[in-house]
Amino acid sequence: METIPFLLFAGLILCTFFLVSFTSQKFRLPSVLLYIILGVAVSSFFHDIKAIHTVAEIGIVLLFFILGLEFPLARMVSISKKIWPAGLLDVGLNMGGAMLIAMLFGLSFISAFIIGSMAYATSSSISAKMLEEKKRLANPEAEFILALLIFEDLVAPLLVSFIAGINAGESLSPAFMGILVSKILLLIIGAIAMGHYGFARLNQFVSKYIQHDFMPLLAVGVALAYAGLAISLGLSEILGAFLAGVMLSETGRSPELEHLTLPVRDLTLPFFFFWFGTTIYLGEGISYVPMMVAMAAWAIFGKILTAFAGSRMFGLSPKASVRAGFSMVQRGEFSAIIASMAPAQLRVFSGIYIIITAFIGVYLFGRAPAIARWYDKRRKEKQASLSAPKDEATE
Amino acid sequence: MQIKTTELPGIGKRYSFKTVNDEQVTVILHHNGSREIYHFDKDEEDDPDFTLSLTDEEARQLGTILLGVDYQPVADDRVELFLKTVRLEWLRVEADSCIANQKIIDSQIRSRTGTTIIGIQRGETMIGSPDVNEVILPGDVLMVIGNREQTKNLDNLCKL
Repeated sequence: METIPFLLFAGLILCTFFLVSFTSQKFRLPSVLLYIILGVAVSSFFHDIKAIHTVAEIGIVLLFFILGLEFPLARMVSISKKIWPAGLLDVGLNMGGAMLIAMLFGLSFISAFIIGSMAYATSSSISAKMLEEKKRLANPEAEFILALLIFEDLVAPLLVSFIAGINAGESLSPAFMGILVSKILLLIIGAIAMGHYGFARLNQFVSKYIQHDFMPLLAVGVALAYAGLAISLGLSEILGAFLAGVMLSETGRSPELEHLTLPVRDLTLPFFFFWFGTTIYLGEGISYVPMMVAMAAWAIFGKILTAFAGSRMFGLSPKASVRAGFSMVQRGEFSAIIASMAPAQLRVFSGIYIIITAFIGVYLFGRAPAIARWYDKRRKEKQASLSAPKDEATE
Repeated sequence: MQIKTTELPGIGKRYSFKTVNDEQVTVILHHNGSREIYHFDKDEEDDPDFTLSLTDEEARQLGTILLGVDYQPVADDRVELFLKTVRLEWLRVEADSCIANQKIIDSQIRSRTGTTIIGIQRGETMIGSPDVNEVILPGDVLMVIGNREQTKNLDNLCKL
């Protein structure tokens, strides 16, 4: 690697990413997955290249920064109010369930917690893209699916912060947990205070200078700085980045700021998935095969159950609920983020888990309308046969 | 006609309505400006029989055609009334106007004049349906609707 000039190296990687992303668009596969697979394929050549990891980290920070911009706390809370029963069911079944399976297979509590968090969230990027491509945004369940994804996005930074804290500390003593929670609260309160008393006054400043070349510097600068602050507190950069977005959204200029940072994110985020792929060595052999089968089965069953029951609680018809149920199995970017913090062996496990569930999820998403139609027809037939004898009886 | 509006978090907004013929039309406004129109036949609530994607500009163009801006096909009394009483005006905000540098909500334009701002032309950019927290800057051209007297009131405010 040392013999190739850095610029040539960087340019070739970006061109390869372009080809990968373009191919995924053509074949209608999630690009996240292809980046990971590409990383796995070349992992023996790309062992731990520092530059890639650095760029990857910036990509992840900007991903969550933009999320924070799009969903300021007030909006998050108002969405969560409608979705919380389904959201909690999701945490219980998919995170708790996966954790339980991992512990049944003999993993320690902390390892099981990491695996459970990894298995928990549906991929927002894959789901949103599929809803659009399959022309299902007009369907009643689209609102439910998107809201549940946002609930997961709200839980995600907290989970990652706990894992980062656990990785840094040795024991899970109550005192340690107390300090961890108070650090998280401190970071959140700091962001809200700075947003409310600082950035809220900058509305005019931002709108006046939004077209100028120094504005992306402000946006990305605040994102990286707060993410870095979180790291220095022993928390996760994701929580910091997300809160930086929340902070800047107080300027009331989220769409414009988002517009400024999107190109930087699109340049850097692929590096994360690629880097994650390169950390997976298949050569070491795959361990925990029975656990993989159990986890994958639960990944499918648990999500279908969650999304179906959640949709019913959300007030959707049985047919739309079935469609929602079969549309949320795919895991993706969030699982990769958690997995990147896991020890090497669990990382290989997680990488394969993500690839399996993502492909099955994409397949089920495509079949969901047909499954829902079949279910609805059967349900109506059943109702008809149930009510027919009753009618006779009343006559 | 009743239009149902739903928020699609992270994507945009969704508007649905049923036509007189019982067909359902759904319009999706994406945050990135593109629009999609879905059409559902009777009794088929979730399998659109056609969809149409439009860019921001195409959608606006189509919108003006549907509004009947340059051609009024039917001499419907109601349409005429609408055009007689409601006007669309472009008003420039002068530097020393009392509403300059104020948020729309603080300027209380709607309660003071009865007009509604539906867009702001600021230099090269056009802000459609501005947020109530949008600050009106000197030099902005406000796109407003209201009757003759109401828009005249606002015109006065823009100059003072």
